[in-house]
Amino acid sequence: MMTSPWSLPVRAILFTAWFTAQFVITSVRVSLLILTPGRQPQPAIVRFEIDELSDAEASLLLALITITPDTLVISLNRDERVMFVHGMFVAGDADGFRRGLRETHDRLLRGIRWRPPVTASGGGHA
Amino acid sequence: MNAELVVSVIGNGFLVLGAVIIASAAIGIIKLPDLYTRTSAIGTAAGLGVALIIVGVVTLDFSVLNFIKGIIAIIAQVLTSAVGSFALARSGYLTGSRPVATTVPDELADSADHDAIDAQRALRDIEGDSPTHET
Repeated sequence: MMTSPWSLPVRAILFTAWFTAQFVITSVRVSLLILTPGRQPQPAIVRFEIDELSDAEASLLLALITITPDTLVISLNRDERVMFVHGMFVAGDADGFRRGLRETHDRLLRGIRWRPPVTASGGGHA
Repeated sequence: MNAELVVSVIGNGFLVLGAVIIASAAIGIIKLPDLYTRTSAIGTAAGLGVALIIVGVVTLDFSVLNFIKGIIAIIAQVLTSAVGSFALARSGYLTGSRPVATTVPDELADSADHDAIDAQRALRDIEGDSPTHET
């Protein structure tokens, strides 16, 4: 849809709004998990590839993933371009969790790059 | 019902909501099973909890300057809390704090095991006293 460099401010604002909503939703989810008696988290640690990101973009993605309370970056390998992410609500579905991270990753690039990459997974809804 | 009362109710509502979220994070530290899930629980207090309290205070004492200060405070708080959570989780892993057994899959442990095996092989090759690779 919007791929012109001139639309960057709009894309940045849209991304900020989307991310703020995600942040509030996941915070409430974690709080509800804690306050529900007898419920325990179903965590997992998955490997996530960040081949095409620059160092600055990788730092930003790391910060954003860690800000949402249900996900947490444990390790970042700059040589192999890989990060290991801990999730609270994975329940054994590692690939689904990875798809969610990939969506954050794609949306971030659309929100901060002058020329956003054309992704095959475009059009997916959260 | 005058406007001052409405503002006071909304502002104090934010404050109480923030306090509830921080309290739930405190319960989470006791309830949750390992370092990483506990760090996630802290994330709710450091992010949403503090942000709600700042929003409440700005609502109670509103001015343009306070609004700008509030936004800067929330952004700074959230960014530093992210870096802190990452440093905490990373140092915890490096000093040997294992994730709870229900963590499946644990792809970091798999990868670390491979590294350890590679390191052992390399060491044996250097020493050269056991040419057989039993694994």
